[in-house]
Amino acid sequence: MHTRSAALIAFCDAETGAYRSRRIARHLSKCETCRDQLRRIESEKDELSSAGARAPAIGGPQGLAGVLSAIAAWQDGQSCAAASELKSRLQWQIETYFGSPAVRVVERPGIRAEELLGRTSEILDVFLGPNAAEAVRDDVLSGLAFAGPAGETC
Amino acid sequence: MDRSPGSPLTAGIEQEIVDLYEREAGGILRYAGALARNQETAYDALQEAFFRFFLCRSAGQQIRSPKGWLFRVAHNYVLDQKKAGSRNEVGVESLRNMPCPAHHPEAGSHVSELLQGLLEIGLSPREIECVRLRTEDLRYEEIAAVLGLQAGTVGALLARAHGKIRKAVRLGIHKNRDFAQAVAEGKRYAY
Repeated sequence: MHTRSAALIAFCDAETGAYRSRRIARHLSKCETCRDQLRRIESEKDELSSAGARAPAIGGPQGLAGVLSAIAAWQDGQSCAAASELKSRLQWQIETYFGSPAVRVVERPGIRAEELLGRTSEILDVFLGPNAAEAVRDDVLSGLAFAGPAGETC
Repeated sequence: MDRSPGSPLTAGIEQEIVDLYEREAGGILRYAGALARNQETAYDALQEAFFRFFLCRSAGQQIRSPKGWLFRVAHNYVLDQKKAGSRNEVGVESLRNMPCPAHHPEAGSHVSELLQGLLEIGLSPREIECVRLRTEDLRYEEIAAVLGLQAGTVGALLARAHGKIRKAVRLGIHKNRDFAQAVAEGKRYAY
């Protein structure tokens, strides 16, 4: 009985557990057909990987420098609009799930947006579970103009 | 815990971002570029992913698999752009944007020539996405998280894609034989 191709692909990707890997390896040592199939799977994977191996150039404001400058701008309070939008989205989520009194518990005057995100996340993780909390976080963070207008300080 | 700008914790997060960027940015950009069919959107997706990573880490979130997390954010960002209709068309046809193995100097086999047209050989959108993410060395669990699937489904989709690719390779070889024969017959008729 030959190993199924799904199992060989998983084996090739190191996605089979230790026990299953040992079983497949034992079978491969005795079966030329499955060894051929595995070789084919490996070569196709190599072909696909080399096809996508060339990464576009990343530099300047679109590269790491851009990310770090957006982070610096955020930390310096230059992304005022995005920070305030983030806070208001978080407040809205807390209010939706837990009612407006919860907002007063979570928020305090002068709280930074990322701190409010952290506190909100903790509550959401506990009450909604990690997957739903992640979905809410995605929703809250999507479409914010993080870099913000340069020079605009909160 | 002090998460204010300039604190050791924040500096640590920035270093984490620098290290991750060096390792993963190329793959994310390549993936997002192919998905978006637009390099500008791909760059935006890359920046968005890393900036969100910074925010979530600054908020104290533990990210178990940063690579998968970044790919997922970039993936969702590109899809959101499509929904918003903001910049360009996004879709499974994105695979056409995948760097073409046939144009790659080192490539030359039938497999390479056929893999550039995964859409034409009948791979489903999910299968194409799985294949693409696998070529970026994402674990099945990470691919599942990016695409919102179960890890077991990823294995099944990859197996099906592999089967279709192999079938296409076989048919491609046959087609080439037919083509060669047709050329020969055409020559004969031309005389």
